[in-house]
Amino acid sequence: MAHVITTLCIRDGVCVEVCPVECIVPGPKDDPEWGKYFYIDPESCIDCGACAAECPVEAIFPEEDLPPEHAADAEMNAKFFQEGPGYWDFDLEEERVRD
Amino acid sequence: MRVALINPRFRLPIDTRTTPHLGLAYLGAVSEERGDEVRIFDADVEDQPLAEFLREFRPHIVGITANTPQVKQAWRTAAAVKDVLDIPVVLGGPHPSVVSENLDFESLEQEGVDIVVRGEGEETWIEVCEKVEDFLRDQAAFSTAALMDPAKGIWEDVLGISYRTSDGQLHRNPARPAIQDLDSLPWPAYHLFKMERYTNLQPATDHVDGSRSFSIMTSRGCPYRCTFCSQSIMPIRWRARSPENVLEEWRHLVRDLGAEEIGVLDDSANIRVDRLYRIAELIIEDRLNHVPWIFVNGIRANLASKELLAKLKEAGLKRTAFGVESGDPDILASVNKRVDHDTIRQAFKNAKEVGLETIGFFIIGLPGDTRETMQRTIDFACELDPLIANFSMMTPYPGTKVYEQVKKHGRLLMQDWEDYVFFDGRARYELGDLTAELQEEMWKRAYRQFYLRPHRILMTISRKDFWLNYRRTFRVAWRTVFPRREKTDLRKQLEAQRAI
Repeated sequence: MAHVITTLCIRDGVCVEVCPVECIVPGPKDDPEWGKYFYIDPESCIDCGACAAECPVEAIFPEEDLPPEHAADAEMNAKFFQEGPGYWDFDLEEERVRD
Repeated sequence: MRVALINPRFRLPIDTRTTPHLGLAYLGAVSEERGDEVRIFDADVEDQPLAEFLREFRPHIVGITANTPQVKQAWRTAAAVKDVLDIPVVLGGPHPSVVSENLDFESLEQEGVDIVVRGEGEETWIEVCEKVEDFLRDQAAFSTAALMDPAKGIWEDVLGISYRTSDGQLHRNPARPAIQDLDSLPWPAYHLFKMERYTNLQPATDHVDGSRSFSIMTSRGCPYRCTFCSQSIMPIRWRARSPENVLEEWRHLVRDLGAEEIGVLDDSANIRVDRLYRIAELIIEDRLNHVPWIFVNGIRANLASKELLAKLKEAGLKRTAFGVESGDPDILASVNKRVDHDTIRQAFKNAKEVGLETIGFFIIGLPGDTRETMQRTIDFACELDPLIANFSMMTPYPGTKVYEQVKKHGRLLMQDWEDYVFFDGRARYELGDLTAELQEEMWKRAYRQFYLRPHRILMTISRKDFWLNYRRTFRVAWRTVFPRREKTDLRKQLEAQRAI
């Protein structure tokens, strides 16, 4: 199992800082298709929940506890790594949105 | 500067292992790196009276470590230091780090404690020492009252400390960020310990001389937030040393210090599987794999593939533990362990198939436990059948979620901090239908059911170590079947005094 970032994501980026296996990647902010959210690689996620505990807007859920309205988001996370940009060399400070 | 680091005597109800305190070994190392003259006074193995040690060494500063059951002894030690010398006394360790319960202030209210270092100690300790040294340089006559004078403001900007100024006011500075680059730390200063006075790491490892038994830390922290675990008061960010950096220390332990046994003390060594795999490869390449080693605190079952365990075995791993906690699926989910029983089964199967000895850690009396769920835990232990099954009595440590839960909805049965040990058979709390009597009954049943099966008895008496330590083994077995006293007696006594 893995954790899933839902469309509630506000690109705060603290999840990237706490992930012990570095499996959270921002969608490039200028990318019209992927640029709204961050994504978790389900292949690498160790399901520790560190990201969920830190997310300021509670946008991250264990896959088995995904609210029904966000059920499609699990596929969105996987697709980002299979068909989307996947892992890329990003600068977190450039990508995150903070007040 | 002369620096004394003290481990207060750990008064435990049972006979236990005595190993050098890795936290003090790290503090000793960073102090030496700073140029200080350092001595470690470990009251567990020391025969010299503390006052005599202090008069002889005349330290400029004393650091004392304290976990929860040790903290009262740490306070007594702090007061004893002040009786001999007017020097700053700094308390650190897990217990006074729990700010959610104001346990830093609790210690500062005790006679003799001037400063509390919260969380990871190395960087904060060095800054505290630098401040003291700067102050000493400017003073003809030193007094702690002057050092803690609020008008001087010496401590205002030091991150990670709480302190008491000489006007009696308590202060709490912001937390210090956790150390990001663990490779930057020096190796633990084992030369500061009287190594010949310690035991080896585990009761059932073959007889290894304590002076040849060492610990190592390859990572710090744990990203998982199990509700019962004291680790949950530490930063959520898990940090690891690089494989190359770990190898250098490993080589030093084996080649320079003659290690015959190494204990990996990480809370979660296998978070990054590829890192651990690489450490194993380097140990093999460097031909250090003849020295057996163990994971003292266990590794995550969900990250223990057969491939990884086989490589670790090749690298000398003799034994690993896994935290199983409960045999009941709902209880396991409720403690936020984030692992299921099939995964745990597979991890034990993998470990046994590659020839590793296994330890299972189980908890009796988790919140929500009933007679049936605790029986499931015992039955699951028997099914997994590790070499060692360790049944802990659920002990709610301050700062954990379970502690909050018990404080809100249940009642703690502990009279003081010295009762906060989890390895004797006394219940520590009651919550709903989970009574002290039931927990104590099931704890005893767990040990009896697990260890008094015919194949287990045969297995135990055929072990070399059983006969090497037979006096201790019989004593522990006797105490398991006939504990010294029951918590229920204490509860009745407290009730009679209306103290709960």
